[in-house]
Amino acid sequence: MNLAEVPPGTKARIESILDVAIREHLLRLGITEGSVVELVQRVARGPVVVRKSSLEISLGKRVAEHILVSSVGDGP
Amino acid sequence: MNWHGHGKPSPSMKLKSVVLVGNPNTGKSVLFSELTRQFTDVSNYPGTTLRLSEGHVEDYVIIDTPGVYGLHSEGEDEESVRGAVGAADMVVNVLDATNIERGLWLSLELMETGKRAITVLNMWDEAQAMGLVVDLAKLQEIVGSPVFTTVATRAVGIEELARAIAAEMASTERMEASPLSQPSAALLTTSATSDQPSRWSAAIAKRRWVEDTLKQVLIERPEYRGPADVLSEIMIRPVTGVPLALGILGAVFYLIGTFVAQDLVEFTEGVIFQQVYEPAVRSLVGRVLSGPLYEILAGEFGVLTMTVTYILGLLLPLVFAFYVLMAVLEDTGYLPRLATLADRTFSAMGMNGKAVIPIVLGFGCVTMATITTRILNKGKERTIAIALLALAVPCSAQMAVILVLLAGLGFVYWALYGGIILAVFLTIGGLLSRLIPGEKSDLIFELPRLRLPQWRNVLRKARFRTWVFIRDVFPLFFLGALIISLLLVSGALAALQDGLRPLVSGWLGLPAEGATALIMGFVRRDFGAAGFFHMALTPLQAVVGMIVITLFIPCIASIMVIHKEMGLKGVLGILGFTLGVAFLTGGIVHRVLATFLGG
Repeated sequence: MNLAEVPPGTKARIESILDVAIREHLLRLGITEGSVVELVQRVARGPVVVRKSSLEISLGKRVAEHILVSSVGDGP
Repeated sequence: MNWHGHGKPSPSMKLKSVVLVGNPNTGKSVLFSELTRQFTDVSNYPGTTLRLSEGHVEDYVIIDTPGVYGLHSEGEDEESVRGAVGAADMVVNVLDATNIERGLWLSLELMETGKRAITVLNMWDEAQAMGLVVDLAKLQEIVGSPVFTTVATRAVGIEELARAIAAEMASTERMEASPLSQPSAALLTTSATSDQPSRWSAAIAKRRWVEDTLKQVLIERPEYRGPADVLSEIMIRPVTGVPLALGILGAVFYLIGTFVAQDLVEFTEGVIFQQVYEPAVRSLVGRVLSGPLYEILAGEFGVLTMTVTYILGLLLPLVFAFYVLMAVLEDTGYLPRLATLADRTFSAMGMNGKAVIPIVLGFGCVTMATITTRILNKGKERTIAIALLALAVPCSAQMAVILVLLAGLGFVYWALYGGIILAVFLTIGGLLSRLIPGEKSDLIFELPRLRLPQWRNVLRKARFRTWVFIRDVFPLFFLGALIISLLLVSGALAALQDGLRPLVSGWLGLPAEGATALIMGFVRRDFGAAGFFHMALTPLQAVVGMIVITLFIPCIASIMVIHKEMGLKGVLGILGFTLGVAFLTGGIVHRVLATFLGG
């Protein structure tokens, strides 16, 4: 499952980030393999918004599709 | 941001310098303004500071830098910050107190440089409201530099910080970082290498350091959800966000279109300037001069009459109102959320959602917005954004005249004008996306916390931008009025009108005097729009005229910026392109509407 397929309101653990540039950029923002993020919002055929602690980031569709995740259910 | 240049690119030669460094949107520019008592443009979205600016304090300079996440990545901003840090005597590392984690990576890279430093946790009030508890002593120990807390927007903690900076600058002794805080040697040597695997392991090591530090420093981090978070979700959920965006846009134009463009301007332009100021000037000038000189100074296009009336009576109130509303939009942090919603639409035009920011700002000032296109990462995205700004985004001054001109015509003509400009915007955007080679960049955009706008900053910003506008526009309008008056008294204007008749009357269906407005449009689009102001136009002619003048060539200030960003070829391309699209669209609209409306 990739990040673009995660339903809003649920959390997901990032398993791998397939693009080097995206991986480096996100690492600097504190998001990397193993991080758990909450999917805040998903725009149809558009970006997803994820939250990790007090950081909210908007990720374009292509970015989200390059991030493989596993589900950790809803709630903390 | 400093788009009309009192910021110099490099620090002054012999003075000692302090450089403010931090992530985007941590409040460096507000701190800079407070520390130097000099205004720089600040907003609540990442990327407001697009180049270095400096201010003098006592015997040293303070340098403001664009926000970066690290020192070692590629990119113009990183390069300029790296240079500024290298040349500086001291670094002030600014962190967002509500999100220390985000800033620590850069803090580590700054520590690696071995520069003397002060660490500032800004937005301290918000961090406390969120219930964050930070061990400042521990942080001080780990980063090896004094830590201060500030609320820059309300000038809290600034004096202490200023004193500390002054004291540090006065002392010649170098601060030694405690051994505990020194990053490992491996980290130091690999941070700038381009070798992929070792670079990645260095990055992982840095990340681990950030997490370790965070664990030691952040004592409490409650799960905090305030009203701002609820509002934020409303803004980015398409079902609620799209109507909200349209509502905000509508409210902006309604407010300005009715209160300012009609009621206020009726008083400033109609009463103060046309009934009091102009007659006074005419009688005064008439006493000493007559003939052509009178015509140039106080005639129909007189530099003392028309120019002053347009700028102070008509444009000043409208431009200021626009800038206030823009500043509110910027400072709340709404624009990055709008970028999220707009990403899909902008993708169809070869850009990512971030491009919505320069486009929206273009409604304030296209010149400033053209500089703001630097927040876009790819050349293709910037070219498209600059072209669309030059073509289809009317700046506040131009919008002002258009609002006044179309005000009496009613909703249908409004919708017609807006709809056609929007259609041109989307069509040309889509075409450019296909014609210009390259790819759009991926959207990875931080959403800043929503904040209530600080009126102090909003008014300061609007005042500053309005002042820059008036300062730049006066000489141009004077020049334009002078040229038009000279053409008029020499009889050349009549000849030009005759020569342009096939285009202006035949193709666009405007009265022959419309040529004057177009000639004025070469000076500035808003000047050109103003040229239509006192012509007797049918509603259809007004719409066609406004469409042509909206799509017309950008103002001279914009052209100069485009020259800087894209070179001479870019300028010539933009000029030909905007003129072509303007006349083509105007002619087609005239023909189609005349068939339907019988005008």
